[in-house]
Parts: sequence; C-alpha cells; structure tokens
Amino acid sequence: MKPLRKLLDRVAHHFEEGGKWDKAYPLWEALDSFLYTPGAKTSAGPHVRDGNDIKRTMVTVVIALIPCTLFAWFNTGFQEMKALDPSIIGPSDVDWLSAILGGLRIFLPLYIVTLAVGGALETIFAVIRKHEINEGFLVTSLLFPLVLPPTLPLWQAGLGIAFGIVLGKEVFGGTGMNVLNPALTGRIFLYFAYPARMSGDSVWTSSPESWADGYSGATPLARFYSEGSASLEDLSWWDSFWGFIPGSLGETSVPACLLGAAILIFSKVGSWRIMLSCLLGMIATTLLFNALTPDPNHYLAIPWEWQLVTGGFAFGAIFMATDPVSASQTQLGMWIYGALIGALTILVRVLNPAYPEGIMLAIIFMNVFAPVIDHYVVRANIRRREKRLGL
Amino acid sequence: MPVIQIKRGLDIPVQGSVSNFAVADAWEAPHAALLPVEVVGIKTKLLVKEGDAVQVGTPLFLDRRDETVLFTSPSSGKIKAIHRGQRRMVLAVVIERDGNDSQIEENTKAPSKQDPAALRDTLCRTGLWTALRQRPFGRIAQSGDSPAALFITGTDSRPLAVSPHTLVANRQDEFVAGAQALASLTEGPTWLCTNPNDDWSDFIAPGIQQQEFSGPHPSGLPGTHMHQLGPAGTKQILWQIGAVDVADIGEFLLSGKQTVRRTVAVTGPAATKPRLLRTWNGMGMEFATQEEQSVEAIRVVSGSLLDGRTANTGTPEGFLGRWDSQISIVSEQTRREMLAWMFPFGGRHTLTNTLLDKFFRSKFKYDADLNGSPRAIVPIGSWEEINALDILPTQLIKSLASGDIETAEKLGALELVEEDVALWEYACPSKSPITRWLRNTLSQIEKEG
Repeated sequence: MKPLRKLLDRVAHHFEEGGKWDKAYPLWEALDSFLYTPGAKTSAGPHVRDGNDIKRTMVTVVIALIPCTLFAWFNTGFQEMKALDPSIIGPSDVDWLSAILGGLRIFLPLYIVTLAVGGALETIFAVIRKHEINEGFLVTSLLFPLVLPPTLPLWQAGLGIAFGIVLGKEVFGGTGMNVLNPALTGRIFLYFAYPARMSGDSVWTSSPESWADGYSGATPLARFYSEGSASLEDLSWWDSFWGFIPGSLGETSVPACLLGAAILIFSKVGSWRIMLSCLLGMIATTLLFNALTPDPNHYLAIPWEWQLVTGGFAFGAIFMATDPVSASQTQLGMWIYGALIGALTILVRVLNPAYPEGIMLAIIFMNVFAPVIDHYVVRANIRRREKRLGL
Repeated sequence: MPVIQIKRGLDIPVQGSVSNFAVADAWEAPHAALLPVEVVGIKTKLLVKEGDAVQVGTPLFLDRRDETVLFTSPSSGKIKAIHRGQRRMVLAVVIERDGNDSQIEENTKAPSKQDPAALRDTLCRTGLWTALRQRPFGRIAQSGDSPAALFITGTDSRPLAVSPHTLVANRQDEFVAGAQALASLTEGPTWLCTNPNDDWSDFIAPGIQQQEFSGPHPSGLPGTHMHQLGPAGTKQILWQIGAVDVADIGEFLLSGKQTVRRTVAVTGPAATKPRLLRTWNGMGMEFATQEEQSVEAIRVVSGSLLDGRTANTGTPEGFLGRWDSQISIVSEQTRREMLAWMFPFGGRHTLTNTLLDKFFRSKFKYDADLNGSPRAIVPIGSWEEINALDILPTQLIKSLASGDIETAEKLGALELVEEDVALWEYACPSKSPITRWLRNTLSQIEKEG
C-alpha cells in the first residue's frame, strides 16, 4: 500500500498552513488519520505514550453498538411483517434474511441522512473553528438512528441531528465541552417538536406501503400506562427481554444492550459505575413504588424486571448515560448521577401522565445536573485539602 | 510506621531494564556541562565566559532570584562554549575537560558541630545546595527558607529506574553524615522515604524518620510522599533531595572534597545493553551512547521516559542532568500504519483494554510515537484509574487547560510538578500536553503570587 501513502504525502503540503487548500485541513486530517496512524512523535514530557487514543476509544463504542444495530435491522423488519400477517406470532415464524432486509430498508436511509447532515455540520464547524474533526461523531451518528421510531420522516431525522449537533454540542464549544448528549438532544427536540411522530401507538411499526403511516401497535410501556399491571397477563417477559417488541430501532433488546455493556466495561471505555448505579436506582425506586401501590393492578405495581426490559432503559443506561463528556466526571458523582437517572426514569414513567418513556428525559435532566453534582464532590475535595494545610 | 500502600498507579511495561547490577566504568567524554535550562524559571547571570579556566567548584552562573546559591562547575578544564536558545536563554555552559578534576579547596567541620547558618553558607557556596528542590513550584530551594519538612527520596518507581539503594551502596557513613547535616536545616521532620524491598537500616541516623511506600508508580516519587506526609502549599514549603545527593553532601562534609563521579543506569527499549555505569557529573552523553550500535534514530533522555529531558548526544543539551541517575534511550522511528484503528492488536500497551496485546505479553518495546493525535478532552476515566493522590485529575486538568489558576490552586496544583502528572499525560487518550499546562499554570501562580 506504499503508493497510497506516497500520494497522500505528495499532496499533504497543500493542506498545511499557507497551502492551497489549508481551509480544508480538518477534512484532510480526518482522512489521513483514518487511513494511517498519524505517526506523530512526542516532543518532551512523557517520551512514550499509552496505545489508546480518541479514535480507538470511539471505534470501541461503535463496536459495542453493533449487537444493537444488528438486532435493530431484524426487529424492525420483523415487527413490520408481524403487523402485515396475523399468522406471524414469534420470530421463528419469519424468514430472518427478509426481516433483516426489511429492517435495513428503514435503518439505512435514517443512518445515511444522519451521517450526511451531521457530518456536514461537523466539518463546517471544524473548518470555522480550525480544530480537528472529532471521532465522537462516529458514535453520535450511530446512536441517533437507533433511538428513533422506524416511521420517522427522513427530513425530521435530518432536522433532529442538526439540532442535536448544533445546539447540543457546537454552541458549547464542540466535543469535550458539551453539557448535553448530542444524540439525545436531537431526539428530545423531535419529541417535543413533533410529538405525533415520536410517541403514540402508531409510530413504532413501519409499513412497507407508506413512509408516513405506521401500523398501530402499542409498546408495552404504553400498555402499562393505560392498563396498569393487568397488561402483564398477555405480555411475554421473554419477548420483551429478547426485544421482539415494537419500539425505537435499537433499544428493544436487552441481551444486545448487555453485550454492548460487556464490551464497554471490559475495554474500560464506558463507566460501569454509571451503568450499575442506574440499575440500582431504578430497582430501588420501583420497589418503593411497588410497596406504595394502592391496588395490585395499578401501574405502581409493575415489578422492576419489567421496567428493565421495556422501553429504552437498558439502551439509555448503557450507551447514553455513560457519555463521558455529559455525565458526571467524578467517581463519587457518577454513583449519584446514575442512581438519580434510574430513579427519575421510573418517576417519569409511572407518575407523569404525559410521557410514557422516562429514560430520555431522566438522562437529559441529569446531564444538566451533572456539573452541580461534580461541584459538590469537588468542593468536598477542596475542603479536605484546606483542612490538611490548616487553612 | 506501617508501609503506605499506593494502590492506584501504573508500572509502564517497557523493555530495557538493568538486569546486571555490576557497575562498569564509563567511557570518558571530552566535555561536561551544567545546564541552566534544567532550573525552573531561572534568570541566569553568567559568572564565566568562554575560554576561562575552571576547577571543580568554580561558580559558573547564578539565579538572579536567589543570588546566594551558586551553580558550580562539575568538572575542571576550560569553558568551551555557552549555548543559548530562544530569547538568548542560556541552555548550557560547556566545559572542555582536562581530566584532572582538580578542586577548589574548602574546609569543613564535622556536621554534628556545624551550626546551621554556616552549613547553609557552605552548601550555597559549593553548589551542593542546588541538590535541594522545593514544593510548591519545583524550583531550587531558596537559601533563606526554612521548610516545614525535608524529604530524602530513597526509592524510585519511575519506569526502568534503579533503586537509589543500589546507587548509594557502601556509602553509609557519607549518607548518614549528609542526612544529619541536612536535618538541621529544618525545624520540622526529616523523612527518608524508601521501598520495603530495600534494607536501609544501616543508613538511619538519629532524627531521621523512615517511611516505606509500596505499590506501582508513582509510589516512588517525592510528590507522592509529600502528598501523604506533607502536603505542600503556599505557606507550607517542603524540600526534597535524592539519596545520592545526600551521600555526596555527606562525603564533602567528611572529606572536604566534592565527588565528581556518579553512578547512572543506562536503560530503555533502544539501549543495546542496559547497564550501570560509573560516570562523571554533567558528562556528555557520548559516555552512554558510545556502545549503542542502533541503526534506528534514537532519542537519548536524561532521566526516565516519563519525565526526563531530551539530551541527544552532540546537541547543546546532550549532557547528564544535575539530578539524574538514569538515562533512557528510546527509538525515534515512528511508523504510519494503515487502518490501524480497525485491528484489536497493535503491538502496543494500553491501560484500557481497547488493544488486546497486553494479554499476550508482559513487556513492550515502546517508541516515541504519540500513538494518536491531539483531540479535545474526553474523560473516560483513564486518569482516575492511575491516580494515586487525593486529587481530582479530570477537574484539575480542565482547570489547567483553561488557565483557571484559582481553581487549579484549590485543586492541588501547588503540590505537583511535571513528574507527578507525567503518568496522567502518558495515559491521556486525547494526548493533551498536561505537563506543559501544569508548568504554565505554576509559573502564572508564582508570578502573581
């Protein structure tokens, strides 16, 4: 592959300062370091460095998302086939390949629009701000389509990611300085701007005939809300666990999310503290509500193992809450941050009449509060230091 | 006192440690030097000019901020060159050695009867004082200060470092004399910080408290010891000195002669034969690289791979540092590997598990590759994983990056110097220049302080 390297080296000077195309340097840098390791040397200070960099970190998150993405392809197609043909009951009744192809028909356009709109905005901001294109975009652009309902019009997807990237990230100064998770900001914008397309019973199952209309099919969460724990009678926990239920593209399968969690925790890229505390916060709040329930058929009586497998709880706690930039950044703060996300999710799901799903709101809310949590952890640390110095 | 266990940290798994502890005599390089550039924030006033004849102990320059402390010649001969860098900053005063090592005669009294004022005066005049460094700021101890405590560093956890216990072997009497004299400079305690693997019982003098530290790097850094036993602050000045320097001071006080020799460890992944060499203070790096038959471009570092100073043979700064007992040699040859981010193996070690090489081998041949390109800070917790101090690394680093000196000071910046944060910079996935940020902030605090 020497010729390619030689060609790149030959044109490199055009993109450096004072070159013909120096404005396009961020694009050049992104391409060059995508194809080859940068080969940069340490100048002083530590003369040797750790083998990990941001590119590898972000690629690891993308790898962790692959199980969810693959499952999204299948389940989206499967739900569509199930809605069309009443004889289909379980995943064994369909041809997996055609289900996956059906899902790809939904996923790919959403993903391509996200990449195109988001990528263009990232590049524009990188060029204006004269910084490198950050690999974090790889993660944002894959997370975003996975949290959308399959029937979402493409122009709304484009608008959502644009909002997420510009107002969720770039106005704060770009990657590393954003307060909110950009993918979630995009989703939350769509949720409040186009509620009819983001919630209700008819958006979760796509239809092959029309982009605009989906089949009616309530998610388990919506049924909990309307029917309380009585709905558990004809719902299958295992279907919810494996993810053969309607929902946002990538969020439905708990095993796929857990595989992702295993990759994130093993590689030390994602924070196990946040994931575990989210789970504990959710379980504790659910148990409390179970104890307070006025009658056994009330929503308050839904047990925690159902809260775990429905909606986007697992996906949100594993991939969204752990965003290192928008989460709490002290180790003690992470426990508080995660536990409150778990608690708030259940609070919104069960007690708030307007929103069937709570994890998205809980994470965004705690993103906003993470700096406050950190502030107090930092203050305790400062106080401790002052005491030792006798100030 | 019980051993203080450092739990979090990292011993960088780099090849090139010394395995044979026999000390060989070094090749005698023609030049030696003293480097003002090593002294943090120095405002150099030269006391010699090119062509002057000097002896061991002849003052070469001083720091205008503290004119009592003289920086004296490590060698005898003739001033060959005075190298200057940017803004005419003096980099090095180079001496063409005559090989006699003739000394300026100084008279000394036995250290126990020495009164502290006379001792200070002697040390400042002979240049031995420059072995003492202070926190905060990491500059040379000020001659008028009285520190809250003195830390003698008898352990070294930096990558490939040889224990100071090995380097001061058979110098018990000198060490004890030096330690006792130094203890008289402080009203507070004098600590001897050691590693449980070494037996220092012959080195303990009355009035010296020993404290053992075990665990991975940074368990052997004075910054870690001070953090546990100190800490340093604007109103709490702490001094540090290496065990070898203590023995050198003791030798001078006992015999009236300054030692000109020093044992150093030549280490590093590109060192063909990691070994111990008995060399001379301030010696040109030729003494260490004479036998390196490396075909690759190499970088010679005076000090460890984490916090050493680039000292390539033949450059103005290519001399053994004032405080260093270690030389690290590392390859400069970096490669541009195609689509490397796709592969879970890359022949490199990482603290995270994003590369799997570390499960298949225990030592790595590091080179000077940055292993990535600079990016915005994305705190994935690598710093916290190796942070041995009760300091919040992510928050401190962000305050250093944004130049928020007030917050940085509150978060403990004054306790730290470059060597303490070098491991954070090593582990940083965004390749942020943390040591440089810290120094900029410290200079700013010192200026405004």
